[in-house]
Amino acid sequence: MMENNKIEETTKTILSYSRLTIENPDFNATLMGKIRQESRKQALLNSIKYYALMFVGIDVFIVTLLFLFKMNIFDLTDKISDIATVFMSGKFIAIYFIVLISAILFIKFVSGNEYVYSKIHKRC
Amino acid sequence: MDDIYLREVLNGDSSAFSYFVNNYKDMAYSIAFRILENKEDAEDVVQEAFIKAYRSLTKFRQDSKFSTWFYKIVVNNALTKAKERKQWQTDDFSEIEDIECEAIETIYSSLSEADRQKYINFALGKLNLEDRLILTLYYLNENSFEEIVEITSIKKENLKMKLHRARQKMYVVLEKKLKTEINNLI
Repeated sequence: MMENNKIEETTKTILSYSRLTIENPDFNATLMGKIRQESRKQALLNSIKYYALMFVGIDVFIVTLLFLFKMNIFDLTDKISDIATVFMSGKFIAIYFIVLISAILFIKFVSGNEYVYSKIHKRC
Repeated sequence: MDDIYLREVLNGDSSAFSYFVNNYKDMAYSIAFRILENKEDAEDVVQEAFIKAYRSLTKFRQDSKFSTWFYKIVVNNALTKAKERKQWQTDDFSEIEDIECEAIETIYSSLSEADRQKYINFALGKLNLEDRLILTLYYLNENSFEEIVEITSIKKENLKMKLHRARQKMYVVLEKKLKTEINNLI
């Protein structure tokens, strides 16, 4: 037992000289840069999920409302006599709201997301 | 301490991850190097392992130490790279005789620090990948048997025997090398 402990200690001492260290001085900076990039990507992914969910949710709500009020947004040709009627119709207003909400969500998403904003800003 | 920084990272402070990089990079590098035997590849593997760990941090259930979980990622990454390079070397130890460790230690301790590093790295280089890994984890990183089983997926029943054989092999190589060097000097 004593001898075994001695061997263990000797081996530990000998192997302590096999410890290696990373010599590259830029290792930490490079890695942390990649980690920050990864963090932004994850934040972007979460935002996409969040806004996609909101977008789908609101659209489903509007379409359900239209369905309940028996309005088919895909059919704009029924009994429309002139352009003024189109702009005054409930269907048009519904479509207009869907487009408007989508645009607001998109702008909010772009401006609220540092990663996307920086990409757009870089391109401009 | 790990827990505090872990919570900070999970709360969105990515800079807190530098704590893990500073504390575990060198040991991770030692492990990766013992598997791959190449500095650049080992460095790449460590970097990839850190990024992988960061991505999967939410999946870390904390039923083991962070270091054990992280070194498992390092070992898996390094083994994948070794497989890609078909780097499966075997050693030529058919029978291992019993070695007088004390005699080796006496000669070894009389060496300069640079020589000690040189000889131990030489001896480890002559062993196979699994032996190098087990020795590094047990004696250098002082991992327990349970932790080594988790990191390497080696069965616990076999681990003690494998460790004993790896240690003996290391001493055989070390003894031969030191004797050759002494004879050369004389």
